Amino acid sequence: MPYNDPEPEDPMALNGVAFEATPDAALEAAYTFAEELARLGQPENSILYLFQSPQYQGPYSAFQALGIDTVTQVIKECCTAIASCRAALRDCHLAPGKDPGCETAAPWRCEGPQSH
Amino acid sequence: MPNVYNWQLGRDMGYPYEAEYPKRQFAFVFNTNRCIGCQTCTMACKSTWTFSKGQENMWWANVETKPYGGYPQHWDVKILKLLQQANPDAQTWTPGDASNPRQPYGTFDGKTVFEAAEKMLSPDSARVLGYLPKDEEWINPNIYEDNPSGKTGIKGQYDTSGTSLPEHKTWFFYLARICNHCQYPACVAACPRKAVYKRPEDGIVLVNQQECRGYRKCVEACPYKKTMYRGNTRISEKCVGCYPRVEGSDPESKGLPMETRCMAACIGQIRMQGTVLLNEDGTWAEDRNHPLYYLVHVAKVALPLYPQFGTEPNGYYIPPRWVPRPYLHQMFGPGVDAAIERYMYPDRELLAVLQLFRRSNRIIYRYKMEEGPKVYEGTLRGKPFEMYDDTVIAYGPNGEELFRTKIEEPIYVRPAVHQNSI
Ligand code: SF4
Ligand code: SF4
Ligand code: SF4
Repeated sequence: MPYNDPEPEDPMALNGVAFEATPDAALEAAYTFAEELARLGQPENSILYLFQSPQYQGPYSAFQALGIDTVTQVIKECCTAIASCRAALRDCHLAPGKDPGCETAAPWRCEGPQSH
Repeated sequence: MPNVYNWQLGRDMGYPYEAEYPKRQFAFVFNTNRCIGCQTCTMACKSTWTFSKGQENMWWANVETKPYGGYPQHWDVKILKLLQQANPDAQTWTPGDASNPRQPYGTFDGKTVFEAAEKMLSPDSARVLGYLPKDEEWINPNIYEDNPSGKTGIKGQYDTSGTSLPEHKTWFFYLARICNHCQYPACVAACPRKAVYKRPEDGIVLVNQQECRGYRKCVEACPYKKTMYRGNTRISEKCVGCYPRVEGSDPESKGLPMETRCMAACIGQIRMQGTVLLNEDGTWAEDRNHPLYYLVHVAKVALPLYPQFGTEPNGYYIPPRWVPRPYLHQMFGPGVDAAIERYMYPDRELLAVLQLFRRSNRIIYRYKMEEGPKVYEGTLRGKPFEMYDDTVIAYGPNGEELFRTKIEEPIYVRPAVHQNSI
């Protein structure tokens, strides 16, 4: 920490202060975000895009700390394991079996038109 | 002071009123690993309940960046400091048998906000250790929370050029918060007019607007700072648990219990809310296939927020995996390590229950799993890992099926003819 005695009464006290992380925090954060997004069915390149975007501060800071090679490998590992099921297209206007031309972590299986 | 049993602390504790429990209890689980800090939940609440004059600085639902932020500012640092002063270096836990539902986190040996009050406060009528936040602490939610660090050793000043900022290995996570509709609410304990009460049907804690005279005792007492004072009406207000939705009397709910606005709006799919059955002693009744019971008492991945405060909060959190453990132990108690280990390597049932989050706005009362084929066998982070495409089915209060979903993520593609297509 830049100084030793943060005062909770001081509205600036915790600003401009860095709380040190454990050595593996960035890697753990990268695995967490990659796993959660893989569970949501996101493809590898979308997840990498998110890591590279400063708008998403958590993944971005992990990306800065780890670099592209490690992050790409983490994403690949998570997508291989977690997103190994096929994503099912529901409420799709295309005929069953037709490729909708979207990218996902896993191959599509189009279930055809459905009503909700 | 009467004694009540607090299962989160694993022991009896002093509380100003005799124990009395609702039939079912409003409860929720937030998965901090998924929150993206988008504040959609915050705005869903704001636009429903607190959009009027006098409520400008009132955010019943808020999301703060930990460890830097808080709404009101420094709320948890301040209450932890007060407890530390009341009971120096003795806010500790004794480990116990995690399989005992009456004390799954062991026993808390320190003092709660009720017990510390006996030592710290005068006059004797003061019932809860707390403090009244200043106006400045309420009016700037999220201010400075996401600012970058300045130069080492220069206090309270940002770097002027930003050309060579120091590189720190820092961490943060988003903590979403609403009122915890506590089993032993500090707001209820503190109100001299008994204007704050807990509903017997669902345990939702409300302020009776006719009875409240704006003494702000509840604002001072709530350790989570979730009661708020409204200047133009001179009475206090708080999260109402969206009770018309929960009881099914909201026109949109069509008579069936519905999750609250902040839950239903969650973009990151981090939130699940429901009502759990209680035993006569206030502990959770075994309800093996209730998703909240499963997450809190079977998988034990969801933990109460600052259980040491002693109010037995009904908000439970899956802790963030990457955050230093001492910080998490302080925030979520001794269950942290086991919860993270379990969450990192989920089994079939946990994966299935996690799929129930935000598939529907209806409150889930029960789930059932139907086993599917194995779709992956390999390793994840050096450990064996298997995935099965199981189906999980959610049921409503009368046993009716609400929805069913699979581990494989369904993705909905809108036809070009949808009304809102561009
Ligand atoms: S969180 Fe605060 S306001 Fe809500 S019930 Fe508990 S003590 Fe009362
Ligand atoms: S439960 Fe309802 S009233 Fe309470 S914070 Fe959420 S949206 Fe607001
Ligand atoms: S809507 Fe959900 S993801 Fe967004 S800030 Fe709120 S809790 Fe987090």
